[in-house]
Amino acid sequence: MAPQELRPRDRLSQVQAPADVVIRTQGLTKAYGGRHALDGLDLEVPRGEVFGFLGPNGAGKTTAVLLLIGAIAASGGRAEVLGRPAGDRPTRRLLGYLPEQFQFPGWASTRELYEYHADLLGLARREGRRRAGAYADLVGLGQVIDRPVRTFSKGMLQRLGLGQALLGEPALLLLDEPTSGLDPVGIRAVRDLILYLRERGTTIFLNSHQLSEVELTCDRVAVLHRGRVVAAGRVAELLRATQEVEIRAAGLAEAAIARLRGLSVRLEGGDGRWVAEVAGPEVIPELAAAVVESGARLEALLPRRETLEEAFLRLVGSGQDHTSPAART
Amino acid sequence: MSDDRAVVSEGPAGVREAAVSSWPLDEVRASLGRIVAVTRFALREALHGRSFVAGGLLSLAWLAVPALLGWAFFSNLDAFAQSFGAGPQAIGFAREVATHIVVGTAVGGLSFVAVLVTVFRGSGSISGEIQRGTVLAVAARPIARPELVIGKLLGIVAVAVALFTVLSAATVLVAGLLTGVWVADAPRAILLLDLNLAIVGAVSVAASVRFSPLVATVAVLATYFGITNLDKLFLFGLVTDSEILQQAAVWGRLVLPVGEVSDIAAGILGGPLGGLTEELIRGVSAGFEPRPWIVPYAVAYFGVAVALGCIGLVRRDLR
Repeated sequence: MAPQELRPRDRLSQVQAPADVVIRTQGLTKAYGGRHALDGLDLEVPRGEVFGFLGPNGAGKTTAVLLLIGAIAASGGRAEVLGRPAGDRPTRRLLGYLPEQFQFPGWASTRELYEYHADLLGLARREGRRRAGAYADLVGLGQVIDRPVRTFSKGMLQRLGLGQALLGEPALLLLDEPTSGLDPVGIRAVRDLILYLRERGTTIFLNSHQLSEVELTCDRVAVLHRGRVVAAGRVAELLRATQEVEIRAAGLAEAAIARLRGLSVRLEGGDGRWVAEVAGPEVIPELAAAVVESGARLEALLPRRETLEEAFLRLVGSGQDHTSPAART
Repeated sequence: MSDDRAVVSEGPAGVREAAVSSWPLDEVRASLGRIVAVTRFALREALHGRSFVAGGLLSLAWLAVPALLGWAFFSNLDAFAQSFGAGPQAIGFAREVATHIVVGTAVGGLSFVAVLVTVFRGSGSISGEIQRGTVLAVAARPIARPELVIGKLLGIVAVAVALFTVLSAATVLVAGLLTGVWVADAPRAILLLDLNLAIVGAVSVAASVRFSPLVATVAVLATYFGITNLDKLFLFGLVTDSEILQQAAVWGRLVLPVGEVSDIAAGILGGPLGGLTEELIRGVSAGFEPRPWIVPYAVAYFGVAVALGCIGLVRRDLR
């Protein structure tokens, strides 16, 4: 989809993002009454990155996104989007936003919704019509583009919202639970779309509960708990190494299993796949030797790391804050 | 929408740029474009809404009342004239009075229905969207909040004005064709009642910026009915000889000037009947007549209500 050309006869003032940082917040705070929904958020999201924003319900994720689009006013701190104060009206031309539980009047059709948003974006009528058709096709609603939205399933509504968010061909895409209500095929389609957009250089800010999706798509993540960032960094950096080793072996006899059990603190599994908790890394070569010497075929020996879900639960599941200056992005 | 509006392009560093024309005229044009977009959408939304359908049906049902009145009068006019020995001049006057009564009843009822439609749609226009969350995707677009308020207001008022004006004009036309009596000043009265609709719409939308649909609807309707019935308070003040009550009624009308504007419209639609009643109640309503500056005041009031709605939305969180 080629962007429109600038008209040379127009005198233009241009809002341009700095090359490196697309979202920057410093001490961003939002309080409702005496309760802090967001408490001193410091964040930097570089251009072209897929950034995952994780947290349990009520952690402040949606509040952060609403502050970034200017839908709500901050109680303190500052936020910049694409080099301009958050909520800056011209800059919003470069944003795409999918709200959590995207809602739209049921009487309207996909075409009406998309053309309405194209008008709000300031696109020429013809271009608006073209994009309405193109993005309806992209999200798989081309066949039902004139059907009233009230007849849509939850998954179709989510796709409708996603197309709406992409309509302006945004430089920054803010997605609040984009896979909510989608079936596995839909989830896969959203994942592919995110990866495709990343390749095109679109920065994506992804609020999600789907930790496996975040793990697969995000370059970096921040974990939010009670309005504060409790951990941030590349996914791999957040995952702790465990004392567990996964052993995949064929033809392991009872005697060999007993030897493995003797080397381990705990051994679980069967059917060619065991997980051994060991006292330290020095035990791992002994495990390999025990398998090989028994005459069984060692297929794999993998030190296990935490999954993102385990790390997430470790960080927020206790209900304690782990905030430290170092944890902040 | 012309091609001159702001566009988006790929910047030299691969960063997309928002290109905003710095010509004030172009910015005004772009702003109007966004307002028109919201207005068109609000119009379509109103046409799909239950209140518009209900309002249309109620309007048509109401028209049966003056139609029956007119039929009862004109079908018995000759018999009455003969039994009272009335001359052609008296019959002509009676026809004129009856036509004004029929048209006045019809237009008054239609105006009331249009006010209800406007209040119901206007009072939920902003807060309803905030409650449902539908406003968020729109708020993320490069639209200023006052543009959203004005666009919504125009869409809501346009529907009510169209419903009221078309049916009122049709009533005047049909009454003129059937009776041969033309209420020549009817367009002026209809315009004044359109102004009332705009005021009620602006107040409803402004209320919806701060209050829930239910609270805004109740508050606006209570104010409307209170203000349009201040004549009773004035009369009570007369009966009890209370200057305070009379003055409260007179100045209280400025809280929502629709009552006074309606009175001017009623006077116009009343035609010769207005003159007769004026003679009958002279002395009773003295001091409660519509003030000569009330129409400019009403126009200014409309502007202030729109401005307050815009300021209110700018200052509030959309959540």
